[in-house]
Amino acid sequence: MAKDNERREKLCYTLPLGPQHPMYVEAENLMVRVDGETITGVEVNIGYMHRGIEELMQRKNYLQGIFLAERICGICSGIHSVTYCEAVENALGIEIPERAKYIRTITLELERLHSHFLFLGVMAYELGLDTGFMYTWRDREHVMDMLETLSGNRVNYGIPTIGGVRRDLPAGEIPGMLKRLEHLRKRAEHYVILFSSDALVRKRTLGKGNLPKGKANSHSIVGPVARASGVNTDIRRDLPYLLYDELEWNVVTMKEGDVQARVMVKAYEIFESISILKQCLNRISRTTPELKTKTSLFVKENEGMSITEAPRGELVYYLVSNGTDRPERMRIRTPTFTNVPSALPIILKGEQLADLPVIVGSVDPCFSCCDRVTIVDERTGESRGVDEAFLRKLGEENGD
Amino acid sequence: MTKLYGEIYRKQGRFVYARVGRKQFMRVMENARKKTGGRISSISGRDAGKSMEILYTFITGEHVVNIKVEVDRRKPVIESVSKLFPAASLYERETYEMLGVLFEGNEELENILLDSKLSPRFPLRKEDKHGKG
Repeated sequence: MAKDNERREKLCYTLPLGPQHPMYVEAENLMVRVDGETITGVEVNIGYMHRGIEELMQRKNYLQGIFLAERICGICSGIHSVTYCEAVENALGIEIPERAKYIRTITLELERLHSHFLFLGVMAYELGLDTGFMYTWRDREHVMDMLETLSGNRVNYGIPTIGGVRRDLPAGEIPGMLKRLEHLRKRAEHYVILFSSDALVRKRTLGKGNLPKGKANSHSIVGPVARASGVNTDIRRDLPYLLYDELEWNVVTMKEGDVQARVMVKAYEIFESISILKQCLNRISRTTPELKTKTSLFVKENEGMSITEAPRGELVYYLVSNGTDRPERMRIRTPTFTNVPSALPIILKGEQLADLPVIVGSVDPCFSCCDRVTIVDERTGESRGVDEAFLRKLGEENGD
Repeated sequence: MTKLYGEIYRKQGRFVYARVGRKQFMRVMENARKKTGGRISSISGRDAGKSMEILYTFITGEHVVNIKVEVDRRKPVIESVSKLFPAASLYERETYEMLGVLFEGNEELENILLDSKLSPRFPLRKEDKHGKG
């Protein structure tokens, strides 16, 4: 028996996936131990996108820090800048005006919508449903347009500032936004049917990548991944910030803990975000026009903390101020830092190698984004993108 | 709450900040485990000049409990809480590589974000002047 095990162990091998791999948009490395096609163990190596932002933040003043925080992530840029501002406001001990709370909430929920539509598209792509990917990303464009209406930008919104927000929402835009939200609600209903009843999707997601509730709790898994395993946690309800305790909405949880549950939790959360947005857009006209509380940007020696619910889960900012216009220390704990190294080894063990991209995708990992290459010719100044035909040609030339 | 988490020195809305000495540290951490069921939100380290400050963040019901402990800067060593909170291992590794705080009992204590060739250089320590012009 011992000999059999030894022989079997010799037949196992370790497969390095990444840091650069077609499966990922970003860089990370998985050392996957496989016995034939079955995954027996996974080592997760992160840090390829580390940019030293916490250290850099200590050298920037509080206003510059907002823009730096916003660039931590290309998808959840709004929540980073809002959480940063809230940490500073808590250290300053100031409240922001009511209207600013509305505009921040609208920005954050629009961001959650675009992140969840993006996730559904990525999952469809990983499952081989390229049409689903195109559809969800087409619908996501409505959200991007609304963000552009609100902020002037599609990705880094530049909305929050210390003490409030930088831009107002024009009243004339509200009816159009409500119309778009209703359209998105109908589209989301379609995706719920697609992801819950399509035979191919069910076959590849039901019972795959199981994360039991006990493990999700003990490993402090956060956000929709935890909620899909039956952990009833949502910072928006547990530690309400902005307007979340005044609005009517529900925390979505499922108990199955598999890939299907993780997809469905995010699909159902789209409806909750749309409901929050509609309530905010209908009520914002009742507020006074103040957008910002005036404040000094020199923060006396103090501490400030802010915890929010980013699209991927709990986001923590902790500030220690020293009386100057720069932080003494700003600590940032992002949701993916908790979810990926803790959850992946649990949910991949015992699964088939072919299911790995779908299972990894279901955790919605978000390292900093770098997903496009443009080649600029120094001599002519011309630039061109890298497409499949170019890569194929390059591969054929090098293969000779 | 003071009995559970040490001396409370600041309260702001739902955020509670408490300070605990080295002797009481593990007892307080065990209390936190009982309250949270093993969920930890974050460990934040800071070079405070004279000492290293380590802040443990937990969410207990409606409160965010922050427990601060100080360790000697010349010999920054503290007990690991990774046996009580499995997720703490990640945060301890990050605090170790950024500030050089050693967490006794954490067997995985090695770099997680930075290249291991950088060790033992700890970029968030005040004496680390690399690239800070």
